[in-house]
Amino acid sequence: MSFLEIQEVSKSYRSRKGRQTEAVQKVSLSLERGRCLGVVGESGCGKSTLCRMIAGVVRPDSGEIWLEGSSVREKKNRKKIQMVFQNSLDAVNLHLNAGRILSEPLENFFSMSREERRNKTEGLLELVGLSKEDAGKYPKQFSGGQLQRICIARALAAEPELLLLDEPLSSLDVSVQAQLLNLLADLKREFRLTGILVSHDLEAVYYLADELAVMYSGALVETLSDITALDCLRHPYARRLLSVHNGEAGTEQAEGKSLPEERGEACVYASQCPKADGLCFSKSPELSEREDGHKIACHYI
Amino acid sequence: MNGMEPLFVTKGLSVSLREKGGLLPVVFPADIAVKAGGCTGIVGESGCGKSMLCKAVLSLFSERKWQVEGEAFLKGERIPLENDRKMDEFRGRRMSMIVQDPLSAFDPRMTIGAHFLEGSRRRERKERYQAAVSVLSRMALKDPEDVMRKYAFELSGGMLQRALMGLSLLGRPELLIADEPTTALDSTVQEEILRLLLDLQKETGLSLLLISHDLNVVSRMADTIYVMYAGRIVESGPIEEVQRHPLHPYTVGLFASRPAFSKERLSVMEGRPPVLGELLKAGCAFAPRCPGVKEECRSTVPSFETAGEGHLVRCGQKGAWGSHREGGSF
Amino acid sequence: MKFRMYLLLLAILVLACLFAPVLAPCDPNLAEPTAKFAEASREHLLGTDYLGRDLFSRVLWGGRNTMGYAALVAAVSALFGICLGMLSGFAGGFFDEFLMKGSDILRSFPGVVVVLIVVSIRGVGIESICTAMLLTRWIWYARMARNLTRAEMGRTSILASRICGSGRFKILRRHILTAILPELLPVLSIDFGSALLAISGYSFLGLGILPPEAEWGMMISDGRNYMEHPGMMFWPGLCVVFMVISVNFLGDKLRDGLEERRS
Repeated sequence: MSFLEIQEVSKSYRSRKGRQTEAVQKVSLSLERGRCLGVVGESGCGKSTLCRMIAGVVRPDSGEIWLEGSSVREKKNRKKIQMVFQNSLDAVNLHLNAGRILSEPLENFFSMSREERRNKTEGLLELVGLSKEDAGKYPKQFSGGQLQRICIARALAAEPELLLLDEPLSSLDVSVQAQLLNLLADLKREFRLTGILVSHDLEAVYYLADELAVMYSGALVETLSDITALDCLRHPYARRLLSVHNGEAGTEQAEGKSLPEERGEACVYASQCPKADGLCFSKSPELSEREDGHKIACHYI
Repeated sequence: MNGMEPLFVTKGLSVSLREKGGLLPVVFPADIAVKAGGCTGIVGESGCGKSMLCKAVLSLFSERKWQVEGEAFLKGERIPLENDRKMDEFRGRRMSMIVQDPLSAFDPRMTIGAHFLEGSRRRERKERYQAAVSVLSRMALKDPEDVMRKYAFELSGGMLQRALMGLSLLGRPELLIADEPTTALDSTVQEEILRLLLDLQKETGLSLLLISHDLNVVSRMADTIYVMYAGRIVESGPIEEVQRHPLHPYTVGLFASRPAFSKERLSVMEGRPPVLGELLKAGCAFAPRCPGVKEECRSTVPSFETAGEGHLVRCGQKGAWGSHREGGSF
Repeated sequence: MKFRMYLLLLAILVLACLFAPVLAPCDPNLAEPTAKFAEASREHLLGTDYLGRDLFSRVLWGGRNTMGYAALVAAVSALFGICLGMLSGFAGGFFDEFLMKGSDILRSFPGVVVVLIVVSIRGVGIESICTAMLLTRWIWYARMARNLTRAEMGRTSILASRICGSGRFKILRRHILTAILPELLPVLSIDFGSALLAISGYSFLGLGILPPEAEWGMMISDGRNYMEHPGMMFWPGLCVVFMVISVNFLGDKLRDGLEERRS
């Protein structure tokens, strides 16, 4: 069994009107220690929900997620999995200063004296490129990039074995994104972190991740165990995503052939896919291995 | 350049915030030009004043809080920025705007269709409705009549941006100002919107002023680029030229900030852009972050230097640092 | 500047009343029939009332009663309401719904009616008034605390805190309480003013503190019968008005300060 094993997890939310939306459907993935997986997809494709299920704070409707053979919802795994969120200003308590934000995981996971904790927080601040003096500042006094650094430091404070990054860069400026990408790359190398980077930005994912998973509408459509072989992507949605990022004239796209709500057993991409036919609308394809480390969910590839 | 009179120009257009202690500059006097049928891109990070500049062009500020100086011309005709009533002739008619968050541009209590019919007399209604349907179907909306029956919150981001574009283009404006039109959208939808804008340009000769933080977007769309930093335009010129030989260290840094499908370490600009209150400091605003900074950079604000055909750069070292460096891979 | 002066005067008044046993020159309930309606003098700083009791001492002792009961009512209802509201907002679900529906029903009784009911059951007296006020006042705190808690629960920071290993109690104390308390403080301040006004009001009507005990509202009521000696009404009245104004002022200032910090 791999370090992280996701077995057919599904999660659906019920809206006020009683309509059921499937955020994640039967996603299976595995990740070895020391590897970094990039998950790409559009907003609302369920990648954040997946992330929260891996973190153990959202319970899947069905399926199970294992970290080294034990469920991620078990208490002992709490320390091992840490997470960084998209909107850093929303992810911290605005009434606490940076030092207290950073000491929260230290209080919970380690027995340290006050003095040790202070040293550790100062060390963490310096690790992410801030200064010791920043410990006394409040979240509103930091820029978005600095605050995201603090969130990264908070996640690292617990000395996690798995780091989840849920769109950590998307609300930041380009030059700040670059700074943080470098920081994350350094940290990954230094701590030999196992990580999952969720993003809509294929370029950033390519920079950081070793493996790639492409999600569409709650389901995995393609996975690649070597992200440098990006050109091997073959699922129509993955191709389209790739062509957009390369700035090529994209592939043609069919517009809504059926109502997405009444999807039933259809392939998640059927209504958008130019090649879709009757089979795609009646049966959803399995994610199956086509080459070594390359899985695709499509009937026609 | 080729002797063609640009469709839209600004001359020394500046924006300042009225504060208790005096005026706080947000945009320093800026000259920009948009060619007829062309697309001009303004690039910069949040807070650099790019959105303020285009709001100033449409005179969307409250007089009491903001002071706008300088002039702007559309087809050689002076735009009456100071006169709100006269602006009505330009705003939304000859020049219109699409924004980053189209949801905020629509009244949540009105259907999309009602926005199109707003202000029309009863006997014009049918005509206007037909025009709306045709402009919406031009925006590649499959069922325009259905879209017009819906409220803004019922539509997806991409559809809403199309609807807003339709609304902006209904009056056949000469200039469309697009303020981060695709930032809030998914990359595949972004691509569709950009392609639609390109098609519209080709077909109707629409001129575009495109504001974005995303160099990818601007380099795809624009023929001319202006790079803004801390309220000033620091580099401008034809897009190919600037892309090939970026001279200002900030431009170089921006181009180098994207990983561009490589795993090589990014060369980043350290530090952060100055915030509003810091803009008045002496010297080049980029000096604290500049890798090629010299003593004089900290004392005098550099003026524009010509670096090539139509290529201007505001750098005390005349871009010496940038020019001997390979331009960022893009 | 103006605000500081208010604050200073407020502090002086509160402290003076608090230390009434030390500061008051006379026994507030000691009647001196020979010195009825005495003018202000060295002996009686504000003069005496219709029974010859020292007005200055009565104002101090009366303030002690009025403010003490108002503070008690405000503090107990705030404490109870905030705790319950936080728990309700945090727990959500059935408990939350039950509590909110319950408080809706209780809220539909006007405060005066509740006071009259309690007084008719338990008889006239400050205890009845306080009980009745407690019965209605906590609801406001509970509802506010509950809504603020719900809003805070929607933030990612709560999720982040769970991932950081914090338990429920720690999240409540460290994240929710710190976030909602600054919002509630101005309310508490203003509510203290309104409780003060209510206690003096009920005593004025003769439902609250019983004579001979001093109380501002009751003193005003006594003064009504002797309009030719305005001091009897003026001094306690001034105290009530000043207290309420400055406490409201304080609340507003707290709120302004908060908003400034938030932006």
